Amino acid sequence: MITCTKNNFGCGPIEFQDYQSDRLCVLNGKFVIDTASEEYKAAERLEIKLPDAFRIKRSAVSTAILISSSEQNRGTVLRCRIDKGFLCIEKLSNWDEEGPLTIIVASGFTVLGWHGQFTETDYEQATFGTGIVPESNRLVVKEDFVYASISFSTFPSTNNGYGPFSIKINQMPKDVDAIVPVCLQSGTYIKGQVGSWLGEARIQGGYISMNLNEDFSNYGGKGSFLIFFAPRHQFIPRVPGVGKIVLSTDDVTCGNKTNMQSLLLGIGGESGISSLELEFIQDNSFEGISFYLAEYPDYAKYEMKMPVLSRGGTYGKRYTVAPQIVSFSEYNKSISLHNLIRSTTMETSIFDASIISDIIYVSDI
Amino acid sequence: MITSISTNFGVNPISLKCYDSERIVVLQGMFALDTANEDYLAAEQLEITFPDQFSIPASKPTTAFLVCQKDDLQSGTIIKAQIQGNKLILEKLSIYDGIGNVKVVLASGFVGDASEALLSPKPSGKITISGKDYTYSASISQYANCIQDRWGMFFLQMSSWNYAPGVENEYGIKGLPADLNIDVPIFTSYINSGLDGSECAMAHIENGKITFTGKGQEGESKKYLHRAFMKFFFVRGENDIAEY
Repeated sequence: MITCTKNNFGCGPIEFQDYQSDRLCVLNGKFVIDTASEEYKAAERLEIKLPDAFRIKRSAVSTAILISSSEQNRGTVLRCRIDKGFLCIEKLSNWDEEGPLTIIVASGFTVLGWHGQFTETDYEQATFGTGIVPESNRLVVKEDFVYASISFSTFPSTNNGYGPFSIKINQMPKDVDAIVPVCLQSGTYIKGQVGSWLGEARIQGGYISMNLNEDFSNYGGKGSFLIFFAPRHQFIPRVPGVGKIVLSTDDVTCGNKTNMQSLLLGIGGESGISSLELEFIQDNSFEGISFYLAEYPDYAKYEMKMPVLSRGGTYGKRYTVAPQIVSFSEYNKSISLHNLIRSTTMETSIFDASIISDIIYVSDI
Repeated sequence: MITSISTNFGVNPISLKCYDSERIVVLQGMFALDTANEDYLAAEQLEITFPDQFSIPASKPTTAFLVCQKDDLQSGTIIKAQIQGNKLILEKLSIYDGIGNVKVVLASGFVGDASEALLSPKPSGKITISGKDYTYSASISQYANCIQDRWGMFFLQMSSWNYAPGVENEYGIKGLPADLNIDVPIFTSYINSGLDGSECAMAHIENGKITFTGKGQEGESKKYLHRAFMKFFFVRGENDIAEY
């Protein structure tokens, strides 16, 4: 981790995870810009002083990502390079009226003017847990850093009821703790729109976690993609301990789309045996629901899933059965529910026993 | 195996496979309902009394299946099931009363209040399903396969499942215990017109094979179980509780 105390846009100390070598440096981190700051207004480009000992003093051009606070968090990619010991980032003023701006640096920097031999890098195809199916797919896992460039044919979407989620990346080293910009523009462009819809994910312990804003529509889904570099040796996965989870209606806060009538959840006993009683009303329950815990128990695994059956109905259809996956996310301190067959029910009941399960994903429906 | 000493809906005795412990009780079996029976009509809930108390005095609600066959159509839903003392209490749902043959299917796990445990998922063994040929193929979307020494839980969702209508269809299923022998519904995302609940097919799983007779008439072209899924608890072995 490096800490950069000086910049020309009025921001406090900025921290980046780092991997440094003579030919390649990797930085991963973010900072927030107050666009009303006089220093920011005066800056022609964003300059962050790197520590004196930083290995590369001048790099070829790379990228940073700007995410504004505009509707659907529109933003774009920025030029970024290391120049004379400064991390220099292009200043784009398109969203200055829609700050604060989040700048994510999840980039690799190569020395400028390399004339040596180029060698092909081995890569693998990442596979994911339920909810994500990759399309174009390159994951490079090195001893000290990772790089990924992945677009998705299936990705969580607010239209499918996703708010918070944590989904396993099977090949991702567990020691990665990366901030990852994700393009969530799933094909719907608004006339006059500037930039793309962007979000911030976190990859920790082999899972990708996000919390999509449930108020947005068409956010995420097919066509979403991510590209990032991140150093390794940053995250030590917590070993799950002994405990139990007991929750009732008053212990949780519901997501925006959920009208929860009652909740009783108990997880404990050998094999993660669980019971869930839940009743909720929703215009379309296939959208999924989410609710938040004040604290995620520190003895529970980072991410857990269990399958349950639900019963519901809508006009002309009564007592239909649906498979639902209950997902727990430490990153989001949340529990979410997803109807796997996307059947529409308005009043939905769950009264089921289940087991915290290692759900094996084989193929898309 | 446990056998009831009485019920309040005119069906007795009822025998169920049983795994009984303080952490979980698993009941597995099936019985027909006579929805014209006067005791049934008078009952507010279905109560099955067994000779001995279960090790969980009062369980949380869990699911049992209610399945109705009308002509070549099968629909089903889930009903609440709970253990109280030496009774199994089932929700009475009258949606199939007077319509076809109605069965209650138990493939249920009953748990009490949560106790402290290692909160980490149990690993799933590999599951594969194979049809007899490409025409009648079956393709898995996802599954969970939690097998314990004396009981287990299985969850399955299919991405596609083709069958020949009106005849028994047989598929190979690998990865489940050899001693598993169970009848459970496979649900789909469709509904049958005029029948509440979800379209389903009653499946039998034994000796590494899963068989069912699908909706339709023999000789019709192949059909699909659309977005088929199943979730059930099962008891391993034949005689699981010595004291019963």
